[in-house]
Amino acid sequence: MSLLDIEDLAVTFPVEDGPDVPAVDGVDLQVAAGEIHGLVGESGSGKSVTARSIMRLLDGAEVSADRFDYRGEDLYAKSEAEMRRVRGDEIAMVFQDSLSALNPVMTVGEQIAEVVRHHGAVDESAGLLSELRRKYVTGTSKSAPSWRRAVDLLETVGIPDPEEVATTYPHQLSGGQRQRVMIASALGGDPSLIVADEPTTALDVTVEASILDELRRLCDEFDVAILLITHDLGVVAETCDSVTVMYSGSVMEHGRTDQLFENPAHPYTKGLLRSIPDGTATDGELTTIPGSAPEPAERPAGCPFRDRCPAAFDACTDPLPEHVVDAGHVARCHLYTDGDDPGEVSWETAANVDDETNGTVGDTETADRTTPTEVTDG
Amino acid sequence: MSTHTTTTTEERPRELLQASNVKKHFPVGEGLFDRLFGDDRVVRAVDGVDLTVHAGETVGIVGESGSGKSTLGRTVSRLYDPTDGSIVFDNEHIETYSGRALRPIRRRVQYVFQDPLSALNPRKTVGESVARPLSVHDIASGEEKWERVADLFEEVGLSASQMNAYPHELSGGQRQRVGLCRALVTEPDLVVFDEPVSALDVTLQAQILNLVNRLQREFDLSYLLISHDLTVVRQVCDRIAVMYAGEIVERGSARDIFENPQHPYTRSLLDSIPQVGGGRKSDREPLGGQPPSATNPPNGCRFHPRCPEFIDGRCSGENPALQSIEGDGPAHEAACHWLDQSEGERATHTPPSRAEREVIRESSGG
Repeated sequence: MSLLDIEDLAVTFPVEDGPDVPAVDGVDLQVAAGEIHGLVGESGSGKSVTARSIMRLLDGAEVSADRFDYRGEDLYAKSEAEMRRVRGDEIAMVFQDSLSALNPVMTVGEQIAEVVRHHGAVDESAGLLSELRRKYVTGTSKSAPSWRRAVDLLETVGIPDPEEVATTYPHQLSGGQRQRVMIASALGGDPSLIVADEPTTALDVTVEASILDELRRLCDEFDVAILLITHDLGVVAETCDSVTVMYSGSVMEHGRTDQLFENPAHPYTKGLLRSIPDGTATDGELTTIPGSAPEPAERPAGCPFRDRCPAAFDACTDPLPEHVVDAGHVARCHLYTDGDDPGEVSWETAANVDDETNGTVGDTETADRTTPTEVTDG
Repeated sequence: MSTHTTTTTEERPRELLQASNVKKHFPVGEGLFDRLFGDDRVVRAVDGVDLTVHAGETVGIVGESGSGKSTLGRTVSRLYDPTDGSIVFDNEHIETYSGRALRPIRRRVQYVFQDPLSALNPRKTVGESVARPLSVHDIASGEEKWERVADLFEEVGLSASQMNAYPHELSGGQRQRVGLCRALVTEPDLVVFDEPVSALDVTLQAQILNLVNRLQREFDLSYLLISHDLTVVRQVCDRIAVMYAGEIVERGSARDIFENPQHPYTRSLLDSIPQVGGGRKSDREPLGGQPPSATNPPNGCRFHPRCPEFIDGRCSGENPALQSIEGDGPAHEAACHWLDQSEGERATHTPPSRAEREVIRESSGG
């Protein structure tokens, strides 16, 4: 059984004077215990909204799902008090911008110690009075179990000289160190699932590499599952066990990382993989997907990708099908509905049109779309 | 842009920009107190860099945040006054120019910023923002001005009607196209891009890079591209300079840097790139530590506290100079003591373990 099992999730943001914004529409997501699951997509694809829906952090949004189970229990049937136990104890979150996620006027040690006390990981009072006294008078004693635990956690996430770092404020640390502090703080409640929203996006590539190695190690050592939200397919390829690809509020394809990268089935996944500069395009021309993702309110019926898809045809206006490519590997694309392999989708046609007409190079949400609809074999 | 690779090696084209020994230091304290009590420490953001951009080529500058790459870009394009060194633009010494004398340079050297939302005036339509330099530099006025702007909008894949939009009404990719328009409207010779696609999704990145490539061919432009993203730099640059702590540690053609990196720092950077198709790199040792303080850089080679090839006594004593790499042509240079080691010395050299390096790092204050 999956640790987290979401079926047909829809999240809509009501807008006062205007049509509602359907941010996420029909998302299935399964995360198994102890795995790193990647959730990839471009900005606006709904990946962060999906992540926040797991923590029930979406104020004012209408969330509906056929199933929203964590360890077999419906998260959306829980009371706010029960949910507070789930957050931190069971599911913790790591945000992209560590500087705004950490409290600027508390030392990082205090912040982690507070998390540790609140989730009852140590035998120490976390009542209102004692917290107030700590906050305004004494601070956490350096010999208190929660402080010791905070220092241990900092050491666990690879911070040199944790005793010293625990007494510093967030602005005194580098971006990479702050992100490690965020991870240590997430581990404070001893969760089974960590939702990490673009944890390395703002970091240099060398620091990113070491943070990703750290996540991998924690996952193996502590048997914690990680839902890694990212826009970087390279990060997914190197870190994740399985992956879900989102586009414009819907899941396009999901499967094990090796399946998806070696045998991508959805034209969007293929296009995404081809857009990554790999140094092989010697004529200086990068292949890309022309156009840009539609606004949620202007999303076409059926497949949301059909306006940009070089292989789009009549059936694409129908609701997304589920095509099982391989065990555990699903592509939601109409190309496969008649059971045949459609062969290679030609991105060349699209790329050339993009270059030569030069007047309507994608990205213009309002632009008229004359996407060629050809499928060429081989 | 890679089409220029051959011409740069065969018939040396004209040098458009040539900077030698450029330094840019920022004072740490500028208040009255600091002036009176003499806090004369400086941040050595750029500390003695040589850089050449030939006509029609694209030069990339890569490095981690804080390496000084943006400061270098701003100094050679004279947005900053250099502390020391010479900057020659089209056979003209521009390092001491100021005010009016800089105006023709401003027209010929343009800058594209990473975040077009903060670079564009939020209360002006993007058309007005793009048209402004035409009036400032007396290039065109009236009908002709707007025609030129409209033509340029279409050239970069926007519609002329979008001239009336305000910056917040456009998407990130569209705003970056407007940023390109504003740089190109004065018909410059050199365009400096500071992280032009870092804020964009990968499919948009590819669209903008393709556009930037096409514009270079059409308008005969030279580019200086500053980026932390090595894959982007590899895709569009003819030559690359790798910066670390205010200095260039290695430079060469894009091919030299990616296929035959010599400096240990360049190698760690390349190893760190998350790659599709490479599988999981479990054996990679991530580069430990952090870039050194720019006010008090370590003695000797600035990379030595983090270097996996550290040679005791040598690397912490003397800062290595750039030297040519044998067999790779004169354009490929790296600054590393390791290159002086003979085959035998290299074979017997046991670099210090991570723990030992921690100790060295502590004692050298890096």
